[in-house]
Amino acid sequence: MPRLFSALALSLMLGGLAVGCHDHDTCDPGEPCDCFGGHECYIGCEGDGCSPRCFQMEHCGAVCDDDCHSQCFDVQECSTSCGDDCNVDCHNAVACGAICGDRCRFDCHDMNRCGVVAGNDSRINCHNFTTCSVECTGTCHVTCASPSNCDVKCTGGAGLTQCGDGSIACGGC
Amino acid sequence: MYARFLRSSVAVVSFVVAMLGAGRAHAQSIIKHPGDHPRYTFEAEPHLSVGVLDPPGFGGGTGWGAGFRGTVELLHNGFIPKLNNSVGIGFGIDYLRYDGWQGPRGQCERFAPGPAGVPICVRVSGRDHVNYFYLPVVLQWNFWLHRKWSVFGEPGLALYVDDGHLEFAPFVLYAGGRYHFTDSIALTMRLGYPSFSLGVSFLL
Repeated sequence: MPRLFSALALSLMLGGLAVGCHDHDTCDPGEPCDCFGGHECYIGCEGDGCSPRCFQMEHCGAVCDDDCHSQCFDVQECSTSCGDDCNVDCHNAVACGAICGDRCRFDCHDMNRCGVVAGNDSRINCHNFTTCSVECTGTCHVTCASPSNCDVKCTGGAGLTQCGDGSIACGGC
Repeated sequence: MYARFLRSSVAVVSFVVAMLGAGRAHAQSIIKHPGDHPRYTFEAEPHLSVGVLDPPGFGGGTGWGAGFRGTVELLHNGFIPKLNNSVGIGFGIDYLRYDGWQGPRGQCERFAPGPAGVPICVRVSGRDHVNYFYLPVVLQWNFWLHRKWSVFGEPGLALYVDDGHLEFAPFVLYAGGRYHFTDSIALTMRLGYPSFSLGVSFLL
């Protein structure tokens, strides 16, 4: 009987060789990747299409590539650094900053300080904030509400334009 | 992962071959005397551990620590009737502190000043260390080569705790050798994946 048990145990363990590895909590493109409930967390996600999320933290941030969908809320200070075609959503925090590439979508609301450096053809939306500072390195369109005055700089040579609907643009409206 | 397994396998096989060769070379070989080895029911083996291969999960670099392995002898005469071999089942616990981290969550290595005075992290680095606990369960297959020497292989599996997360490693693999000071005390070295160890065995 012990011999049989040993043989079965050996077979079971060798059988385990065929089973693949399992890593936990990866931040792979296309999969949600969260940081929450702590003092500080910074997420690095390589590859396009990452979806990092920060909440209920003091300091949190994400560094990702193109097509990154970053969310941040209930955080003291939040940051995102990403490539082109990013979508950054910050709300209900103290400060939120981002550096993003072309065609960036930056939405910041219910925030003390919002700040973004955005690439060409970007759209910035700030509302319910104390400060919203925007630097556009190309063309961009900035919408501000409550209050309606954002600090917009066009650093890429495009002209600062006051649009008819109250929004601001670097380049044409 | 497979490269890591290959490296550890080569190390393990080389070690076993070397040990078998050493055993053969000696005149007092007992490998062909089935059952001619100390009788014991439990092997208690406290040891020091080192992890030179990247562990499962997100740890990296080199790990140092300590642990304990307890092995119950199941078969005094093992799977090969003509050889002096025995079989046991081993349960262990090992703590290792690794000096590297390859996970997606870490510390910010570099901040860039952003508008509105918000520092923006532009590079994330790993942590400076990570703690691991391994709980291996292995099948220990012993070969008694000489009064002073025995070797063993240990395929198995393990639970491990990495950065506070309980995970499962589908295989662990060790090979080791003992130098027997007496019938009940031996110096035991173990090579394999995920860690190496050096300890003292008490055959009780």
